[in-house]
Amino acid sequence: MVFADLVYFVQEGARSIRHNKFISVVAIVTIAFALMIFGAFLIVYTNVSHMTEGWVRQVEVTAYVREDFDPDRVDEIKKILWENREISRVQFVSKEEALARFQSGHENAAYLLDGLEGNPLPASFEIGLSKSARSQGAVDQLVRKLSQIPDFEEVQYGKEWTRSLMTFLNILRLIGFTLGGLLGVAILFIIANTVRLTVYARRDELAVMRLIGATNNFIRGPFLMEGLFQGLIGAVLSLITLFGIYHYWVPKLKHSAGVLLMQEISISFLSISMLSWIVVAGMVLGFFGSLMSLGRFLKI
Amino acid sequence: MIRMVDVYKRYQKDYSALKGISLHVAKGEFVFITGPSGAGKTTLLKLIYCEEQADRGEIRVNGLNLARLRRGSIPYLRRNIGVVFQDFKLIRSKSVFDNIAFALRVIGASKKEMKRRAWDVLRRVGLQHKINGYPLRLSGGEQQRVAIARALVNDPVILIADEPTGNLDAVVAEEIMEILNEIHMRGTTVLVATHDMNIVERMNKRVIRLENGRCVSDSALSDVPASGSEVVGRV
Ligand SMILES: Nc1ncnc2c1ncn2[C@@H]1O[C@H](COP(=O)(O)OP(=O)(O)OP(=O)(O)O)[C@@H](O)[C@H]1O
Ligand SMILES: [Mg+2]
Repeated sequence: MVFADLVYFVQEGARSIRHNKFISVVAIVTIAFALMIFGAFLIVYTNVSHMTEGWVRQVEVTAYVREDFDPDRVDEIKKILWENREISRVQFVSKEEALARFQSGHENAAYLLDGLEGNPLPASFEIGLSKSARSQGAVDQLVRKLSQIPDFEEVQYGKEWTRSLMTFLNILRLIGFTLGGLLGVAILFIIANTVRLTVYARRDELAVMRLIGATNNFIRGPFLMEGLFQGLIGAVLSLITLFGIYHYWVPKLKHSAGVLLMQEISISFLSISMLSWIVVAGMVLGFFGSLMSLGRFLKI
Repeated sequence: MIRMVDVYKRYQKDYSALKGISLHVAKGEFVFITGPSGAGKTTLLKLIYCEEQADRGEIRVNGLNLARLRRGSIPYLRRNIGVVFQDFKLIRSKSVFDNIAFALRVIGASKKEMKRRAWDVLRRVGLQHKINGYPLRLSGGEQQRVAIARALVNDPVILIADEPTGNLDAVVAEEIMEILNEIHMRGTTVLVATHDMNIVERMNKRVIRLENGRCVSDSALSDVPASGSEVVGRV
């Protein structure tokens, strides 16, 4: 394909969109709407998974030592722990620190300890896990192993909690795939239909092109461009709208969510790479939607 | 240049538009195909540029066996054949210039080339002044000339004209034939389907007559076999 052909395809594709303004606008807006739904979902998904990833990172194994544990042996135990490759961080929390933490975390509830003699909180090792070890199976295995160390009274980790979090994320991902698939198919058909209408309106011209020696690819070119443009414009439009909504709503949402969770949360917009993926998806869907509608019209 | 051997074509089950056509047109010849309406003239021409496929028989155009031609090669065959269609087939939304330039655009000519050749060919058919006109605002004769110009613009080796004088008055018809003759003089093989016997007689060229899907006479042959299923024309 010559460069001049490409220029011609682009010009003709754009001309066709301008020429069929109404139907093109309807198609573009519909595509924009579909991609916007998907984009909104992506924002929710990435933020939720980003946020929870932070939580998962906090999930760590806590090994409580026996009451008679000799604090001089901390380094020795640390060394044993470090032999496990899954472990990325080890911190010893003495009885005193545990108490201090408890007190600072429950200032209003300090009375809970009032009736007790001495310090009832056990010392512990807080063990962070490397990323690769964060699967359920790996965690289980590590915990079983650590439980064999005689100095440990009990080895704990947030099993139920991580599991349901993972399940939740998986469900979210599944919804995303389904939604993306359905919306993708919808866009494919929207574009196929609009392009089919333009093809139909210009079928005489196409017949002439064929008879004066145009190749099928040459005849297709402008329509593929038309579909591609519709997808592209639809995608860009969806992202602009989405950003507008994000810009307007997120500060409010952040505020109320912050109040609710008693924690500063950050909600980020789609990353540059995701933005470009949506645009590319729009273009690809436009291209193939158009190709779909051309098949039966192009016979010599 | 064009050779047909025992060619059959039917559109409907029980009716054949062509029944055993055999002919040979040499390079640089000018041939009239005549015959009453429905004789199969247009069908014969369509087979040559592959708008229709023969059911039986062999067709060779410019050395190519059409039955063996891949679909993808048909456009390239057509670029060597200029066709003036019975109904012109001009694109209504394009100007005269664009209609002609389009035939060049389709084969990937440069802008400069398009301008030069479109202009050149419009001068040959005497229509420079209508270069910006639109087909629907042209007279029949003018549309015919645009159609001829478009057929010529790629410098085809074969020019096919289907009823080029169809509904034109005698004077304009004469002018059109003059243009076709000039194209022939430049070495192009020209095939003209017409039932205008006045013109055929005046031009004094080879005439192949079809009737009812058969070749009934060929002025290039002294003796004409009664059956159309034998080789009828050879020059
Ligand atoms: N696409 C088609 N489908 C069905 N029948 C057709 C088709 N084209 C032509 N025919 C039939 O084939 C026969 C030959 O038609 P053709 O167009 O070749 O005649 P012609 O000699 O060109 O006539 P005219 O002088 O009126 O143009 C006619 O009987 C016509 O009805
Ligand atoms: Mg005809």
